[in-house]
Formats: sequence, structure tokens, C-alpha cells
Amino acid sequence: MSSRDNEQQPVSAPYPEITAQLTEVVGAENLSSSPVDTIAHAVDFWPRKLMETRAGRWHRGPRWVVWPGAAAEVAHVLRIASTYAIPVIPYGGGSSMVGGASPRGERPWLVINCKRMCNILDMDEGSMVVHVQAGVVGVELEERLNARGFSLGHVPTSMTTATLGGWLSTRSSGMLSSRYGRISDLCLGITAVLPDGQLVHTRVAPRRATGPELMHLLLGAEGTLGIITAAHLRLHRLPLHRQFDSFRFERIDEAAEALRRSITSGVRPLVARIQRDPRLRRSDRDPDAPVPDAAALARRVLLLAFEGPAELVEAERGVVRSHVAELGGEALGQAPARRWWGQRFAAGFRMTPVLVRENSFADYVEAGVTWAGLAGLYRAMEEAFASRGWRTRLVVEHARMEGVSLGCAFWGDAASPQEAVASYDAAWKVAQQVCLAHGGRLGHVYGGGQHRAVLLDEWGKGRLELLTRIKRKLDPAGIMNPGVLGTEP
Amino acid sequence: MTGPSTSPDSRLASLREALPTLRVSVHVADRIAYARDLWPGGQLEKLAGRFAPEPPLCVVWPTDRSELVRLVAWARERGTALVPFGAGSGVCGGTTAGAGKVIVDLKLMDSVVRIEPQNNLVRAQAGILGWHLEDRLNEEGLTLGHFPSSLMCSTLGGYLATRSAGQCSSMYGKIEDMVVSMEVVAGTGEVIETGRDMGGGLGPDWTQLFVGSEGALGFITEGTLKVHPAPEHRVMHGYGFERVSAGCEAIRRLMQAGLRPAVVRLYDEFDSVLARSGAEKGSEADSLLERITGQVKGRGALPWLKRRAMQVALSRPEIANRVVDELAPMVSADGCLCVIGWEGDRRMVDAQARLGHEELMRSGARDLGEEPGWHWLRRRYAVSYKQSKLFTSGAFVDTMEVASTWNRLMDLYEGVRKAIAPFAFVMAHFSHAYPEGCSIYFSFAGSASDPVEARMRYERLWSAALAAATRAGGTISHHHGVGRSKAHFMTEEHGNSMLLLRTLKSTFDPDTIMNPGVLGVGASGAP
Ligand SMILES: Cc1cc2nc3c(=O)[nH]c(=O)nc-3n(C[C@H](O)[C@H](O)[C@H](O)COP(=O)(O)OP(=O)(O)OC[C@H]3O[C@@H](n4cnc5c(N)ncnc54)[C@H](O)[C@@H]3O)c2cc1C
Ligand SMILES: Cc1cc2nc3c(=O)[nH]c(=O)nc-3n(C[C@H](O)[C@H](O)[C@H](O)COP(=O)(O)OP(=O)(O)OC[C@H]3O[C@@H](n4cnc5c(N)ncnc54)[C@H](O)[C@@H]3O)c2cc1C
Repeated sequence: MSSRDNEQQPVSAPYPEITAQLTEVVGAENLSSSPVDTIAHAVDFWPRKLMETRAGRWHRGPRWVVWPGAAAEVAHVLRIASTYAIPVIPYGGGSSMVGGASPRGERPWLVINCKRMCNILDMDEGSMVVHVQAGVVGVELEERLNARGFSLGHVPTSMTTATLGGWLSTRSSGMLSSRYGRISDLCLGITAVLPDGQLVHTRVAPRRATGPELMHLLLGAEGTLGIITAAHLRLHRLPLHRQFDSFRFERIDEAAEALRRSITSGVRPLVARIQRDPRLRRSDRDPDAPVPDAAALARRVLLLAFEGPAELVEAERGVVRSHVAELGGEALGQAPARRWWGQRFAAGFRMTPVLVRENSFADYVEAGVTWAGLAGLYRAMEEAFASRGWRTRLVVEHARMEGVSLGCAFWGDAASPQEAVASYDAAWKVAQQVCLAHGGRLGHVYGGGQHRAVLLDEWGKGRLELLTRIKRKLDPAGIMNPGVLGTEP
Repeated sequence: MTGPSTSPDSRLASLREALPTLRVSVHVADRIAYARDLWPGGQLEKLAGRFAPEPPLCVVWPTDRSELVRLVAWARERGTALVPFGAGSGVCGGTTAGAGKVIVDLKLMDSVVRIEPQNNLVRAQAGILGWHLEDRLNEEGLTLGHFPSSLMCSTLGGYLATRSAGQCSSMYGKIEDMVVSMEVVAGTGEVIETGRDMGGGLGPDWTQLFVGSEGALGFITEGTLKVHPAPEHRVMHGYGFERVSAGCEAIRRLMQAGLRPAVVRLYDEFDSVLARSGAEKGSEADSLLERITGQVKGRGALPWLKRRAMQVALSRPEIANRVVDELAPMVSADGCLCVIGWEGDRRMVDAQARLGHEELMRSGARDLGEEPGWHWLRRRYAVSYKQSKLFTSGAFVDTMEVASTWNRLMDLYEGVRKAIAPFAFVMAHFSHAYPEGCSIYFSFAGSASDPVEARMRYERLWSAALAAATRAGGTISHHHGVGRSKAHFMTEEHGNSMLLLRTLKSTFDPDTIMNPGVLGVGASGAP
């Protein structure tokens, strides 16, 4: 135990007493310290931890996992945690890619798993607003909404794992973000429990001008200021007319420019992605296929989906086509984009087979970048990774008026478990340097957790320092997810 | 910290010493001119003889951020309150000074820092007037898309500080949707860039936490905002609905159909009369009364009744409102007017205008043709910046803008209308629509035998109306802000999430020097 732990948590911490108090709040069936549950909550989806686990280094799980059933119970639990200065991790689906939902260090962690709070509290179909508890898993919420003719329009690849509370706490961005925005754009108000057990509820209006929009203090805070227990969300109506289009360009530059001009014209595609030419897949798989030349490697496809009233969808497609034509793009029809749509959830989990391979390493860099900076960042990222022998797959996604997010999946193999972790860290150093030099903003999609915060530049660190100051006021005992987002461990 | 008890002279001397190059005025004309914004309650106070009861210590015009940083340091040391001032077009007492405070006019910080057409972004200083910024962008073939009626007399900093909304908000968004980052000189003296060219970074979105802060957390000195191509095409159209509720229902369906009209406005029965009329000059309320009496005359009333009718209407609003309800169907034969506008890329505009038209006709609209739409567009800034003539005759006029989700909208409309009715003649339009709800903009006019009574009536009206809005589950302000005039109602509005606002305040303005009293945080709230 570190000296810090000794100060805050005397060795004689009354664990049985704490357990008894927690049990009283949530009931014995909703509290666990069993290995099954604590091991399950020991890691999240942060590849670095998965790599360590693979190499035989087991991570210590939390001391307790509780599953409260209502905000009032969360409040009780947090009061107990405050009293005994027990560090708390608000836990949704544990799909955090950055270590935001896993314990760190040797302290006696308390994980508050929100998944029992998963009910739709109210549905106002006329206003297309749903009031729902934050522990609901994304796909379950979407299916329940679909059954009533609605959709949330938030579809991250981790849809089957992640919860609403996790989305809100990381300001998640899904694959339909070009049309429907981030989860924060879909949120009209939240209920949250602060560390001292106080319940705050930001009232719902389509819009208001009565001071700053206060829910934004908790959105993106990654559990460092409180626990979000429910939210009001905007919905969209089903069924929607949907169409696809695909175009091939000689270079990333023209592909990006066609997309930029389309968005600037007011087109709001459901999906917009720029990725490598799918024809290259054949040469990936078939060792006898001819080695692609530089021109083939440089080609990029723009995959688009559209949704909405049929006539408007056709107008949008017309606008896109004219921009594509001006930039010399080749129309590939609906098929490539449709194919991507059909496999849209598989893509995210392709990392898994890499990571089960001994001594391999892999992760996904996501950096925001303006349109003007995109091509430069794209090439620099590609080259920096290739020159070190690491494989990459780059994707342009989350397009909006001022820019996009550049995704860069990277992977490679090392000689030993230690080297794999070292290469992983080195790869992130490279990503950090490339972003610094080319205007990439790290942490654009997955949040910061334990990982990205240390990679930020001065500006980014300055923002987190503001959060730390707020945290000292709202969480004087420092119990809420300490150490995440650069807050005091 | 030296308390504010030190004499004005010694404080001015210390200000000049701390910031020798800062432009300062202690001239009585400036101090009176800057003592109030356009809050109508302030107008009533003037009429009651309180012209500028508590003029500010002085007015200052900083020219850059470093001057502001030093000004903040001086203010913290001297315990002097600073009031950020854009153009003073606020209507809630946001810049109302109070004795001993320093008014900080940002209008010398008014340059366009850069335009990045490739990134659809503009960076500008906060003191720039809305229409100057729009003009600059138009020169490049761009538009911000933010068109408050006060475009010509309000600043970018004011928009960001009050969460302003323009007439084309359904398409271009409100100011918080446009801004991606702001530079703020906080009440601590630190300079904070809230976001970046790609919006917020990790953690909370600080841009969204400083938008709407009404000067209570610091000075907004610059903003980066999204821009759009200036529209190549525009379609304007008028529709009629028998009742306002039918119009609301049609707008709800329009907004939920996945379309993005630039302009959506629906006038209730009486506001429709006004909207159709000329009314190029004068305030809405003045011409409103002209219209009521004019229309009544047109329907056979004797001409000499006109003046008398106006007086009676305003002093007995409960009767006037009832009469209007009765007259409404007769006065406005076309029912409630609805103006819909589309702009942008020609193909998308045409497709949307057609789809929108079909949707509205399915909802029972009467097609009134293009003219009512163009008529509105021509008059879009025709509201008066002068206070109404009515004030001098002992009457008052004001506006209140509320909003709610669709399920509560008619309750909100009826509830607020009923609350205002005993005190003033009231009419309304619905001007910012969303898939999930809508705003309601009430205009009202009342009168009393003398200024003191007018002031009392006015205050009772507002208390009743604010309470009614909250009771109906609406917000008390859709886009004008809170200032000091609604500050006492912030707890009703926010419940205990006020705690979060107080946390922001104590973090970024620990000495409560920044516009104390606005938003119900800091010092006492009375304007
Ligand atoms: C294969 C894969 C694909 C992914 N694709 C995407 C994608 O497309 N887009 C995207 O945005 N993300 C993606 N992610 C990342 C991840 O799914 C998101 O960050 C998601 O929002 C996390 O949700 P969760 O419920 O799993 O939260 P967790 O992982 O449990 O927690 C994430 C963070 O939020 C906090 N938290 C969770 N619930 C609450 C609550 N109720 N109140 C307060 N704090 C809370 C936690 O303390 C933690 O800091 C992906 C992850 C994986 C593994
Ligand atoms: C005729 C008329 C029509 C109007 N129409 C609309 C409309 O259509 N839509 C709409 O939204 N509003 C409208 N308004 C209200 C008003 O114009 C807006 O509130 C506007 O945003 C105020 O801008 P301003 O520059 O005049 O700010 P001011 O009135 O000077 O200040 C308003 C508030 O913001 C603060 N503030 C100003 N600048 C800064 C800064 N740089 N940093 C920090 N705080 C600052 C002030 O302290 C004050 O609290 C209208 C007003 C009038 C008189």
C-alpha cells in the first residue's frame, strides 16, 4: 500500500462495517466482493491492460461491486463512500478504451455498476423525447425505441456493450454523428448524484437562455464529479428512407474535399467515411495476388449513407454527386457503402483477434482535425507508423462543418510481453508527436480515462486543470474516479 | 482587498495609476447613458423619476486582453465590480450598473481576427456588432446565420453571453450551436481558451459552460464560430391556420419530418393582424394598438372612439383581452398567420420547400402564397430600438419569451396568457421551433394612471407570468437571458442544479467582481 493510501485509509479501515452499510442500502443480492465479480470489473477495454493481463499480470479488482437500483440508493452509497474516503468508479458497460472504468493502484475501490437502472421512465411520443435511466445498454434502449417507432440515432460501434451513462460521461460520438451529432447534442437534461449524495436535476426545455447549460459540467466528466442516473433524450422517427453511395478518388485530398463541400452545402449524411479502397482486401488475403502499386495504395473511397424524406435524400445525393464530379471521383454505386453498413458493428471488434495473439499490440488513435489540416495529418500519421513497421488502417469519420475525426487503428507484433507494452507506449508517443506537429486533437471520441490525459498538449492539460478545480469543490474527499482525466489520484 | 468604501475619487485615481493607457470616462452623460440597458422596467423607473439613481463609477473602453487582465487584477484588489457591456441592447437589466461599478464597454475590441473559409470558421473579437460581422462575412460569400432582430445594435460578445437566438435558428442553430471556442478573461484574471478549432477537448465542454454566463464568470473577448455559404436561393411562404393550436400542431409535424426550415413563425390570432400590417415604424405595441383600434374602426366603430378605445383597452386589459378573443376570428379573417422560409443550396431548398408545403397542407393549412413570407422578410429588423411612445403616456410594453416541449406548449401558452391578462393586453407568436418543442414570444402592453402604479402593475405582471411559465413546465427565458430582472426566479427555474452554477461562479469569480447579481449569483439581484 502506498503512503497516500495509508493516510487516507487506515489499515484498520472498518471494511466489515462498510460492507454492512452498503448491504443495507442495496441489499445483499446487489453487493459482491466475490472473485467472479471483482475480476470481471478489474479491467475495461483499455488495450494496454488487456495486454498486461494476457502476459499473466492480473489486475486487482475492486473490493466491492454494488448494483444500486435507483438514484436514491446511489446517493446513499456515495455518502458512505464519502464518509470512509473510499474511491468510487461509476461503471456502465466497461467498454472504456482508455482505462476510465477500471481500478488503479492498490486502494480499496468501490465500483458502482449502473446497469440495474435501465428503465424507460417516460416517453413523450408527441415531443419525441424519452426519459430513461442511465444504466441502460445502448442496443437495448435502441430496440425498445424501435419497437415504438423511434430511434435515438446514437450508434457507436460499442452499441452492444456501452450504456447511456457511459456515453454521456464520455460525450460519445457514434457512426451517425454527421447527422445526429454527439450524444451531448441529443441530451436535453440529466439527473445526477453528486459525491455528497445530493441529487441534481437539470430541467428540460427544447432550449433555454437562463445561464450556462449546467448539464455540461457532468457530460464528459467521466465520472469524476458525480454519477448520472437518468437523462432526457431527443428521438427520431422510424421508418426512414435510407440510401447509400460510394465514390473512388485517386487521393485522400480529393475525397476529403468532396465531403467537405457536400457538408458545407448543407448535406447531412447519415454516415460519411473515407477509407482505403476495398479492392485492396484481395491482396491482403491472397498472397498470390499482385502487389498493389503506389497509385492503388493511394486511392480512397468515400462511403455515404443518407436518411430522411425520399425527395430530400435524392436532393442531397444530387448535391454530393456534383461535388464528386468536380473533383474527379468515380461513382461506385450503392454496394460498397451498403456492404460497410452491413458489417458496421463487426469492424470495431477486429482488434480482438490481434490482441489474443501473443506479444501483439494494438489500439485506435482518434484525433479531431480541421478540414484544412486533414490531408497533412493523414499522411504524417500513415508515414510515421509505417516507417516503424507498424500496420495501420486509417479512417476519416464524424465529419462536420469545421472538420472530421481521423481514426487510426494500429497494430504490430513484438518479441516479448514487455516489448509489446513498450511498443504500444511508443506508438502512442508517435501519435502524440504527429498530432502536435499537424494540428490533431487527441481524445476526440473515446475520452481520456487514465490514458489520454498524459498525452495532451498544454492547452488540453489546462482544460483538465479547470476540471480538477471544480472537482475539489464538488468532491472534497476526492472519491469520484480519482486519477481519471488528470485529476488527483 | 480594499473595500468599496474608499471614495470614488481615490478609486479612480488608483485605476488611472494601474492602467494609465486605459480610456476612461467619468463624464455624467456617459455614466447616465450607460446606466441602463433596454430593460423596460428601467424605462418605468426613469419615468418614476429615478433617472440614473446609481450611476456607475466610470465607463472604460479596453483595447485588448492584456488591458482586461490588468483591469480584473485592479478590480479584485479594490473590490470593485465590473460590468461587461456589449451594446446595451439587453432587455433584462444585464448591464444595469449600480453605484460604484465600472462599466466595461468592449466595442473597441471589434476586429475580425481571421476567416478560414476552408474550415467554415471565423474568429472575431467580442465587441464587433452583429451586422458588421455579417457584412464582413458576406464580402467573402459567407454568412454566420445569426439574425436577432437587434442585429444592428448588439455585439457578438452579447450574443454569446446571453445565449442569443436569431430568426433563422431552425436552420443555422442558436449561438451555442455556432460557437466552437471562446477566449475568456475570467474573474480570476486568467485567460481561458474554452475550446479549439475542433470544439472541446477532453472533459466537460467549457465552451458550453461559458456560453450564457452573462458576464458573471468573466469577459468573453473572442469567439470562433462556424460559418456557411451565403444562401444562393430562398423560398418564403405564408400559411393560414384557423386556430393557433392547429398551427402549432402543423409546425410540430413539419419539424419532426426531418426538414430544416430557416424561418418558422406562427402568430396567434391577434399578433397575426399585426404581422400582416405595415408597421414599418414604431414599436410592435404602438402599432398593435393602432391596429386594434384601426380594425375595430374598420368594422364600423366610430373614428373618435379610437383614442379612447386605446386608453380603455390598456387600463382594463382583462376586458380588452376578452374582447380580442371574441373579435379575433372576425379581425383576422385569414386566421393565424404562419411564415415559413427556406434558404441555402438551391436543390435542397426546393426539395425541402416542396416537402414542407405538402406537410403543412396535410395539417390543414390555408395557402396564402409567397407574399406574407416576403413581407415578413422585408420587415425582419423593423422593430424599434427606441422605447415605445407608449411609455410617455404612462403605459408600458415588454416582451417575454418562454419555451417548452410540445406536450406542454398549449398549457404554457394559455397559462402565461392568463397570468398576464389582468395586467396588460397580450399577444404572442411562436418563432423558434424544434422537433421536441417550441418557443412562445409574448408581447404585452398595459397602462396605469401614474408611473408609480405602472411600475407596480409591471412587477406584479412579471411575477405572475414567471410563476405561470414555471408551473406549466416551461423555461422562463428562451433567448433574452436572465439579467437582473429574472434573477430572483433562477431557483424556480433550475432547482438545486443552481449548486452547479454557484460552483462555476466561485471557481471563476472568487471575489464576485464579475457583474454581481446577474443570474442570481453573486450579490443582491435587484436592478
Ligand atoms: C469495440 C469498441 C468500439 C467502440 N466504439 C466507440 C464509438 O464508435 N464511439 C464512441 O464514442 N466510443 C466507442 N467506444 C468507447 C466506449 O464504448 C465509449 O467510451 C462508451 O461511452 C463507454 O460506455 P460504457 O457504458 O461502457 O462506460 P464505461 O466504460 O463503464 O465507463 C466509461 C467512463 O464513464 C464513466 N461512467 C460510466 N457510467 C457513468 C455514469 N452513469 N455516471 C457517471 N460516469 C459514468 C466511467 O466512470 C468511465 O470513466 C468503443 C469501445 C469499444 C470497446
Ligand atoms: C429591439 C430588440 C430586438 C431584440 N431581438 C432579439 C432577438 O431576436 N434574439 C435575441 O437573442 N435577442 C434579442 N434581443 C436582446 C438582445 O439584443 C440580446 O440579448 C443581445 O445578445 C445583447 O447583446 P449586446 O451586445 O447588446 O449585450 P448587452 O446588452 O451589452 O449585454 C447583455 C449581457 O451580456 C453581458 N455581456 C455583453 N458582452 C459581454 C462580453 N463580451 N463578455 C461577457 N459578458 C458580456 C452583459 O454584461 C449583460 O449581462 C433584442 C433586443 C432588442 C432591444
